[in-house]
Amino acid sequence: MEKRALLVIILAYGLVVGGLVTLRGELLALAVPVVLYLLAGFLRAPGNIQLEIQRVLSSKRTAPDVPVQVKLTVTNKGPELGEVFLEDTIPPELHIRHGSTRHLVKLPSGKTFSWTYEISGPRGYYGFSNVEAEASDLFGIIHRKSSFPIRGQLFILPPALRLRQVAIRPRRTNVYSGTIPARIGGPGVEFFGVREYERGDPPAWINWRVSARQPQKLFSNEFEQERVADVGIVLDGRKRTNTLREGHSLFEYSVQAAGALADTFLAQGNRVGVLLYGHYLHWTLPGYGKIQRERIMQRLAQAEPGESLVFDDLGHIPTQLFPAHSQLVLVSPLVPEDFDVLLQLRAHGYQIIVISPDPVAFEMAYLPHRPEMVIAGRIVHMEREMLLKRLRHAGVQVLDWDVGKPFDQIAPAALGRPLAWYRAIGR
Amino acid sequence: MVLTAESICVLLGTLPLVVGYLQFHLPLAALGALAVGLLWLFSNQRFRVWIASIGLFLCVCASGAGAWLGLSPILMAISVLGSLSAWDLAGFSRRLRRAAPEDDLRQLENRHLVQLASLVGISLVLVLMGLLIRVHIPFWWLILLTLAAVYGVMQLIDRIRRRD
Repeated sequence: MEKRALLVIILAYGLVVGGLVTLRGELLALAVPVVLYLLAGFLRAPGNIQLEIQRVLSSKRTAPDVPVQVKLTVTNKGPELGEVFLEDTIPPELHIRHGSTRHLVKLPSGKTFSWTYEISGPRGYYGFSNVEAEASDLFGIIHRKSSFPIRGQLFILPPALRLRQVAIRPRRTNVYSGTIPARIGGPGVEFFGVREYERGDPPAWINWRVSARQPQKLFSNEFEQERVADVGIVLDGRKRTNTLREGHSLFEYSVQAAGALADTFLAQGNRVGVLLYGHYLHWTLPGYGKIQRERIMQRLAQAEPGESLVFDDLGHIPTQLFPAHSQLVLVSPLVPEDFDVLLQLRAHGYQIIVISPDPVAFEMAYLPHRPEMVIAGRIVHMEREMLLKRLRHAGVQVLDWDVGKPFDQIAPAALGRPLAWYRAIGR
Repeated sequence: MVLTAESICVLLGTLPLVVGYLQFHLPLAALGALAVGLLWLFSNQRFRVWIASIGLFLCVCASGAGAWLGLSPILMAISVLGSLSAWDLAGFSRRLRRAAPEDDLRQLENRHLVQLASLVGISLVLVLMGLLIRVHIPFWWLILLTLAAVYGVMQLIDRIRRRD
């Protein structure tokens, strides 16, 4: 029973019993308004709440802080509800930009009430659950609550950064033609070598200089075939590498970079898989095309940094997930212990690109500019430079990313073409 | 509008008590009623419903005591009606605070006030009739009514227990 109803009942009884005990009619007369109030409440008490509710989102996938309209349509399939409070339950991380999630209305039988509100939020996966309805009588004495499970979901994907090209050169390529030099002669663009003329070679391929030196023989140019490749993106979600002082985190930047790279590699026709390495391992199976892009983006939308004793260092990266001699991209702020693991992967024959959001520059940006801080920052920066230098010496392509600059501006220059020496030795 | 109506109702709920008790030469009780009224009027919105509940309880008890002592029953009835209305409006205000700004609050307010005013009007007529018309109830009927009231109280306690 409602507390409000209880109070009125106690008062009514008090007056009636008091009147009877003291034989004073005035007391009974005073009970009349209270009893009438109670009766009015009970007589107009709401019946069962029978609502038909629909929730429509203007978009089920969007970018961070982009508004999404949510439209709710509530139809009363039961008796009239004189005063009904409707509330859509939304995840607390979402902000309401316009409108309201709740309304207090009168809903006659068979009538429909609809309203729209606008939400936005940070990257993530958001599940919508219930719409709550609470009906009461006119005086608020009797309340009836119902919860309507109306499921819905909203993916707020990492921002879509477009990189024109990321040049990779793994040792092994797949059979389909693509954009990655395959170290095999055949039709292509880049000069690869010269071989004896074969029937069917286009005349334009004939290398007349070489043929002139060899009487009775013709030689044709060979070009390097371009194929697609397997690319494994490893997103480092370890809390100890991503989360810095005062709750600042580099993880959002890492996710942004991983998303942009996955998008670019898939656009180039490659087969891409993503491994989230943090609290646990989450492997998005490799695939091609737009569906794979959507899968990866949805996975990245849900990615959160986490802690685990097992996955505290990169030593547990399951290399069996990545085909031998394929391309690996590690997105990680890096810690010194990661060097050995990367060296091992390199020894296994993987081509490795490391995208490393710079934690030193990131942390220095919000720390107070005291002389001791500046010196400490320089020392840590030198340590990091040493680590990156050692990695480069080991044949790992490293992009040291100062997150103050957008990734899509930094990446093309650093990853657009393989280094000249790298192309020359063809490793 | 609701706030104004609530304030008027608080005054209607407490001032008749003050006047009635002063007429009966009980200044302390009058002062108590005045204090309750002032506390209720100037209470914070956050605690308004709680204070309204306490105020309603005290006002109805004071009216009952006044009627038993022989104070003007009209004044006591006005006090009960005023405090009951003020308490109801406090609850209604709280419910309105949950509404969205774009809701048609004016319509809800008007509807509520009209229905409350109707209830108060009917109650007032019935109270006046009850005070004017004297009916002699035989002793056995009185016992029967008392037993019915006691049974009702027991049922109420039983329901409360079951709910807990």
